[in-house]
Amino acid sequence: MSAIALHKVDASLGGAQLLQGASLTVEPGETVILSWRRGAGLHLVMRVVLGLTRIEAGTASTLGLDLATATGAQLRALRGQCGFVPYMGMTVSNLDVFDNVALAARFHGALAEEELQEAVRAALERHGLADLAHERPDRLTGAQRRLVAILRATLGQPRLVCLEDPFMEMAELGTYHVHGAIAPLCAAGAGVLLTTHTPRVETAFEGALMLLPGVRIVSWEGT
Amino acid sequence: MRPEAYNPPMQGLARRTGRHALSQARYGSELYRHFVQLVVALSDRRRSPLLRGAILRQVYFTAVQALPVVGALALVIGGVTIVQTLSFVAGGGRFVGTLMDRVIVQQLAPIITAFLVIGRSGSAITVELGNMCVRGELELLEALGIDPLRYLAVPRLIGVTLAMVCLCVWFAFLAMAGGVVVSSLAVRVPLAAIGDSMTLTGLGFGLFKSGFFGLAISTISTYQGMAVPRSVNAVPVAAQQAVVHSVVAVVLIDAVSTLLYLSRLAA
Repeated sequence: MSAIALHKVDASLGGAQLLQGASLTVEPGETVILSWRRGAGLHLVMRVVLGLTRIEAGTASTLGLDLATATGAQLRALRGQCGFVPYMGMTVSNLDVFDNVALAARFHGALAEEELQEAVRAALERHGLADLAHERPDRLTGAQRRLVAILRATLGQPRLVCLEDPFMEMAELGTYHVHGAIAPLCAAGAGVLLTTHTPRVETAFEGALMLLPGVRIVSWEGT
Repeated sequence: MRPEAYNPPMQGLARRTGRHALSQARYGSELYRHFVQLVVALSDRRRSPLLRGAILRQVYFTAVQALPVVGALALVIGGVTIVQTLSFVAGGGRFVGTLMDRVIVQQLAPIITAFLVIGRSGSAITVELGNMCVRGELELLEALGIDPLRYLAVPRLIGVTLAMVCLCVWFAFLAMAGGVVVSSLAVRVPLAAIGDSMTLTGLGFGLFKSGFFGLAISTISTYQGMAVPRSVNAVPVAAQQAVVHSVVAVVLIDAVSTLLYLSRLAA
């Protein structure tokens, strides 16, 4: 079963039909990089995959769930099994770093509370954020907030991780943090969908994208 | 050139009134739908430590932090109400107990507590949720599979309602204490006489009303906060509307429930 299977999908965002007959598959253990210019509908692809936008034509499934016919509760349960790092609005402002990382896994009960706290502590320690555990996100830099979002998305063994430009600004902290969070998930069989608006994917971010496990590049033309 | 159609002033007024009535009816139905969604989210039995923590934080912010200001107000208002009554009712000492039951416990405690909660917590809830809306955090929660109603609004609904009832008890207790102190200095009313005039039904009615006030305040505040469009300028407007609409709702609930209560007593 594919982690993501879109076939001839039409979908709109804000009244504009950005996807027309779009097809895409992501297999378990594979990293697919979608690369194209801004405004081509990459964010809409993420929204379709996570069931946040309904498709208008074609077929779409994520982790085996038919997105066209799924109920609201089924879609929420699906998102609970996925990790997501948005390009903007990455953290919840009234929670500290520790609770931000724990948020999704805690809400969905992915791990027992003690196990969860241990996992969050270990992740923060491993990625150099332990000293900031009790800071609010507005005290962090953009790269630190992105890293917090990546750690939240990869906690609790998700079966699919969707990331919007995760390497953006990460040079400040080191792009190896992104690899360190994603590689174990791929090894465990999770699918990874990554979108980027940066041109020349092979050389972007000093080649960091190409070091992701099982990488496949799709130049997306928006249709 | 066509002559401009004559538009009588009363016709314009009627049209504006009708339009206003329609928009208020639409707002009322949206508020009702929000409340029903909250009840549905509330009935979700899945337990989460996040929800428990959020409810406790809301009770702490709305009730515990407000105890000093509510207590001070209650003492003064309780004392002043009794002094005012004794100053113009001959032999008013006989009525002190009844006055405390009818005026302080049944009316002043729920209403004044509600106004304080609207000013302190209702507006804060709207601003907090409105800012989260503007920053795209509600969309983030949806994308993480977290129902914003269940995670953000339900704990506030439960927390504010619980806090309202607790604050009402606190206010009534201290207002009565203030009243007892003042009346004992002025006319020496025996405590037992005051106690005899207090009724359990009166206390129950006051608490019942304050519970309803809590539900109304939290429903309106969370609705206004979560309906903010993605513009920073919209947050103060939403906060102002939350305060005004909550005050109107509290006064309406108070009027209707008091009428129902009195008609039931008369029957």
